[in-house]
Amino acid sequence: MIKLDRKHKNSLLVLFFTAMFILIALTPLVPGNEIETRLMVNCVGFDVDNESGMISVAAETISGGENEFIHGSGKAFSDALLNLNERYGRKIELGHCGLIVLGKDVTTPQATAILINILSDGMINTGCSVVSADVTASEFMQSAVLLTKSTGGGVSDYVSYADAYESVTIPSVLEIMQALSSKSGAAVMPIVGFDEKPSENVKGGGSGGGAGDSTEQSASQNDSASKVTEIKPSVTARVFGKESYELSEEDSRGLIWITSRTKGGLADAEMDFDGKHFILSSVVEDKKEGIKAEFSDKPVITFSIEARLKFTQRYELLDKVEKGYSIEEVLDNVNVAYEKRITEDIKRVADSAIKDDFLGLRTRLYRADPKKYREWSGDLAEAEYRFDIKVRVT
Amino acid sequence: MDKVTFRQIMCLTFLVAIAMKMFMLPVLMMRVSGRDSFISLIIMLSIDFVFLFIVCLTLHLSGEKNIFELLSSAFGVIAAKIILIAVGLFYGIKLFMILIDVRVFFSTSVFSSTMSPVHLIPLVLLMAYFAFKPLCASGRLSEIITPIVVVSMILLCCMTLPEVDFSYLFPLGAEGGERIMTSCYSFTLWFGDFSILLVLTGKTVNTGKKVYFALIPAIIGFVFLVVFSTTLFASYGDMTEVLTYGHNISNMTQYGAGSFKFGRINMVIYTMWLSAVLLSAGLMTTFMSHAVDYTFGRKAGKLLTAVCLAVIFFCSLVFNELNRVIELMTAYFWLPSIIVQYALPLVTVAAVIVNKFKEKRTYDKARQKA
Repeated sequence: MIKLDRKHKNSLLVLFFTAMFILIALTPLVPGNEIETRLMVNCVGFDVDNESGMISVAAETISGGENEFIHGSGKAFSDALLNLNERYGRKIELGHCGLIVLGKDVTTPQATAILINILSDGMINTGCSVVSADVTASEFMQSAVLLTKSTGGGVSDYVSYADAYESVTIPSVLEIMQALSSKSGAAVMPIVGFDEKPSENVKGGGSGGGAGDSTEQSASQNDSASKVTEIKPSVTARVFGKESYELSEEDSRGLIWITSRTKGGLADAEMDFDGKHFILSSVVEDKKEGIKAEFSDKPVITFSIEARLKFTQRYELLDKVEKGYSIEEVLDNVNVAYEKRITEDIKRVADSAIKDDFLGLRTRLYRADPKKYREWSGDLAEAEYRFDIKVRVT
Repeated sequence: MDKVTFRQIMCLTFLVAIAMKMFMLPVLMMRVSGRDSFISLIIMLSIDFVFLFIVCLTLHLSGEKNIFELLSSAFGVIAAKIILIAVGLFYGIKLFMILIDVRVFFSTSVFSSTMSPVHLIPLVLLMAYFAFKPLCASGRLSEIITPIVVVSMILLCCMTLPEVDFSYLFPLGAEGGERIMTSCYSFTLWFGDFSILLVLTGKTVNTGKKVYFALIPAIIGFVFLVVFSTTLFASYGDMTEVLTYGHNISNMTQYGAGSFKFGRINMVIYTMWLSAVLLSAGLMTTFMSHAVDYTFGRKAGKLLTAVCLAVIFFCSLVFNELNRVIELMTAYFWLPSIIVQYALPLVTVAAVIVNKFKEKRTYDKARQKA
């Protein structure tokens, strides 16, 4: 029998532990049968019938590159998922789900109940995006499958793209629940929808002005009726407060500036200069935003934005330079025009948030001074709004 | 020679600092004090830090005496046996709590459909291994495990922290101080782990004053712990009802690594830092085993340790209402926890002082005679 000395024994022990770690660590990397017994879902949507209270679940599955539409319903959240499992003979797996869609008729208590269920069961990534559909979630999902069948990927990929590279701010499920559970008790999410157009009307190329523009690259051919399905520009938002309702495009525009998750997008402004009216168009390259809430005689909310924009219509202003204006002078006017525009946008969205505080202003005031917050009536109409907007256009 | 080196003490301190507190403690604290758990955690960790210093003081000044010799020479054999058996019994209960912790964590987050008490058998066997092996085995194991645990912690930080909005942690203390204090004393069972390091008394190799450097890995461990717990406090401060038992680490990593069921990296990380918990539990078993050995002799001690482990496993089979067990522990075991875990370092340091005094008196008497 071989007798090992202490050093070799230790080496063997280390080897044993390393092997054990590798084996255990590799276990989850071997999906095996488990994934085949699951309905891997890329995007899930919920509708609630306000009369019967029935919850409907619709989802887009990912299965070997083939995306399919699946659905189920039940009196409670868990029943709906169970029904879906029974219909398709597999268990729904939301671990890879990147998008939750709430149907247009879902109310605030219903949205809260659905999201709290999905979050507390730990079945979904807390960073999963949440949007509201302009139709029912089921209709949304059917259109989504039409789009993604042709183009590949999943609808959540398109929404993620819009979130990161355009101007649409899409909250995560955790952010929505944080907002709904906070002192403000309201949340806002973009409304996303699909368009079906006859194929000859579809044009490629650049997009028009305005923040949150369409992802035209997402247009895809719908074989059955020679139509194309494309994601509509997400320019409006739905508020979930005491009630749920839609914000207009104008009211939603300010959200882009004060939400930290948005990184860029297009920004328009109007400018009168040297007797001529200009429509300015720029790309947001960088921005820093802040909302400071404090109590003095009354609540004071200061919105501060520092943005760096890249001007995309230089040639239109070149003749001004030729007429003897300096570039700095022209750009100063452009900066002022954008500052004015951003101030208007933010003021408008802040006014919209007085009824249902979807900007989280009450939460910020509570954080600033809990004692004064308790003494305060809670009416945001009493608050004074201040704006500190600095824009640098290059 | 059953002794641990300076490096092994450093590793053991780091692992003990994080081990038991990373499982369920943050969620349990949140249920009592919401986001103010942050303050409770800082208070309790500060107290732990002070007591770690006292433990280091004992390790430094006790010389070659082991804990039994230290206590018996200061307070007499009977008193030493009573103290050690009380502490050993307490650690037995704490070990049971760890088994429950591990089971709840795995049953809610990893093996939701397959986890049963039978799965704890390997863990209990591992505890027995620790109990019957010399201390240097635990020390060597800690040297192997610590780098892996540190790497997994750093990975966890990188994946999680960029996505967290820490502003939700505030305002702190807005709901008054009562719930902060309740949270502090209710969870003492999860704190005070450093007292198990007293089993190393008289079993260190030439550490001398260097033993105080063990405070550094403790601070690093505490920083990891506070960062991860704060992530949870900030994210769920307004909606504690969303969290279920065993949900803590799972929810944190979901920010960056997908669902805990399918997140590939998460599983690797859990596996790695879980080894810290196993080692910490192993040290508790060692303490229990040593206490029984010192009290009843080596042969009877081994038998009794085996019986104790069997009883602990049996209890984990019988008590299936895991959440109820945790609630009972929180409601009734905070006082014994304070008495045992915080009094033991004070008692040992008192023993060191008494022994020094006795030695001085003996020396003076000898000199007078001479």
